[in-house]
Amino acid sequence: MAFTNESHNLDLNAVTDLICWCKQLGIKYITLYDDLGKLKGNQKDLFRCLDYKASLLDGNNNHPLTKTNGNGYTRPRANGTPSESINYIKGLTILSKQEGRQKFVRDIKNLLTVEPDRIDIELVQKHIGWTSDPEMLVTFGTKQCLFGFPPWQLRLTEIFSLPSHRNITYKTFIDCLEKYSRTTQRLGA
Amino acid sequence: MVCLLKFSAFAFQGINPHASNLTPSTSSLQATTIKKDALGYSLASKHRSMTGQTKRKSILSGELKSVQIQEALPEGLKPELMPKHIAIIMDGHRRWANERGLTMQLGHTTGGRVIKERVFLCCKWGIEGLSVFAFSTENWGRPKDEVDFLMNLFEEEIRTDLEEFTRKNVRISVIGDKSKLPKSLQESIATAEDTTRGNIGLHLMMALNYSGRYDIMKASRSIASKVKDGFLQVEDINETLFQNELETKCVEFPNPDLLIRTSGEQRISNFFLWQLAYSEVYFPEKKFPDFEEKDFIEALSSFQKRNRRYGGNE
Repeated sequence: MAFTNESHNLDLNAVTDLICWCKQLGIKYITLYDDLGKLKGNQKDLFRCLDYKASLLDGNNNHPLTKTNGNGYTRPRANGTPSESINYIKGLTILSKQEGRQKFVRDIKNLLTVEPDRIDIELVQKHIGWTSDPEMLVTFGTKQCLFGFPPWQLRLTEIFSLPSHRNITYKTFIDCLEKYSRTTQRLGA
Repeated sequence: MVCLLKFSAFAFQGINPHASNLTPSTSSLQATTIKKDALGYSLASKHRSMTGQTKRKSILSGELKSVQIQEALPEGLKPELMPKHIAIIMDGHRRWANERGLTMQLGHTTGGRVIKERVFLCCKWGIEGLSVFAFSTENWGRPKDEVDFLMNLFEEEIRTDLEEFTRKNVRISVIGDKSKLPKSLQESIATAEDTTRGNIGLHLMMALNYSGRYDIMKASRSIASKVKDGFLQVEDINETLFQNELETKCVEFPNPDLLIRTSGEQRISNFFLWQLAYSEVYFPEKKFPDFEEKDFIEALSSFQKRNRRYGGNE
C-alpha cells in the first residue's frame, strides 16, 4: 500500500485498519510506503495502535496489553511494543523513498565486485529483489502516482488508486480486492 | 524589426522555416508569439490559451537559450501544466478486433493509425517527448503470424511515415534490444534515426523489444564496466548517473510526467520501471484503437487537474 500524497495527513487508525483487514483476509506480506517516511518515523505509535486493534479483534479483554478502566473499555499498553499483535506485524514492511531508487543505487554498488559480463537479470534480482514482488499496489491520494515506490518490484503489479485512506471502509477495500481478482495477466502473450 | 531578427536567427541555426510546425501560417503566429528567454525581451503574445514547445539551441552569441513556438491548445488545457514527456502503453488491439469480429491484423493497423494521430497532436501542442511501448520482450511469446505481422507493420510505418515525421520536425529514437529484430527493420530504424537526428520537435521514442528490467540491468552492467576500467569511481555513482546509463538517456526529459495505459489494465508490465517512479498514471478503459483525440485531451485534463491542486510540480 502506498500513501502517495497523504504523507502529511496520515491517520494511523485507518492504516492499522487496513493492516488488520489484510491479515484477516490471509494476505501474507504487506508493504506500507510513504515517500516522506512519516510511517517509519511513527512506527512506535503505529505498533501501539496495531496492538490495540489486535487485542480488540482477538477479543482478549484480559490481555496484559490492555487495561480496563471502570467502564470495561480497553486501553492499549502505554509503551506500545507489539506482542499479541505479532501476527499482524509478521510480513509487514514499512518503506519510504530511501528504499526506492536511492536504495537501488546503494545495492547496485554491491554488484560492482562482480565481473560485468556476469551481471544479468537474475543477479540483479538476487541483490535487490524481494521475497516476492507485490501482486497489488493500492495508492491513496488524489495524485495517482507511484511517488518513488521501489521500481524493480513493480514489473507486473496491479495498481489501484483510492482517493484517500482516511475514513476508508471495509467495503471499499474489499471492492478493490474484487477488482484485483478479476484481472487477467496475459504476460505479453 | 524584432520579428525579423528572430526569423534570421532561425535561418542561421538551420531550422527549416517550412517545416510544418513552422508553416507560413504558423510563422505569422510566431511573429507575434515567439518568446525568448535569457535575452531579456519578449514579444507580446495573443491573448488565448497557448502552449510552448521549448527547444534548446545556441546561436553565435551563445545567449539564446530557448525558443518557444506557440500553438493553440484545446479549451480547458493550460500551457503551464502540460506534461513535457508522455508515455503510452498501447494496449487492447486484439481485444478491440475480437469484439468487432475483425482480424488481429486490422486491430494492430488501426492502432498504428491512432498513434500517428496522437504523435501529430503532441507536435501541435508542444509536448516535447512521447514514448510508446510498441513491443515488449514478453511479446515474442505471441503466435508467430502475429509477431511477423507486427515486425512488418513497424517497418512499413517507419518507412512510409518518415517523410511526414521529418516535415513535422519529429526526432525518432528506437529503444530496446534491436539486435533481435529482423535485419530489414533494423535498417529502417537506423535510417529513421539518422535522418531525424537533427530534428528539434517532438522526440518520439518507440520501445521495441524493450524490457524495463533489462534496461536497468544493462545500465548496471555498463556502470560496472566503467568502474572496472577506471572511468568511474564507486563513490561517483548516484541516481543521476544511473539514470544517464538507461536507454532513455537520449532524451532531454527521460522521466515521463504522465503514463497512459489503455484498455483498463492497470499495471506497468515491465515498461519504464525506473523512469515511471514519479509519473502520474492514467488508466482509461478504452482499447487503444478507440483512443481518440478527445480521450487524449481527457487524459491531459486529468493530469492537469491533479497537478493544479499541488502546484504543478512534485
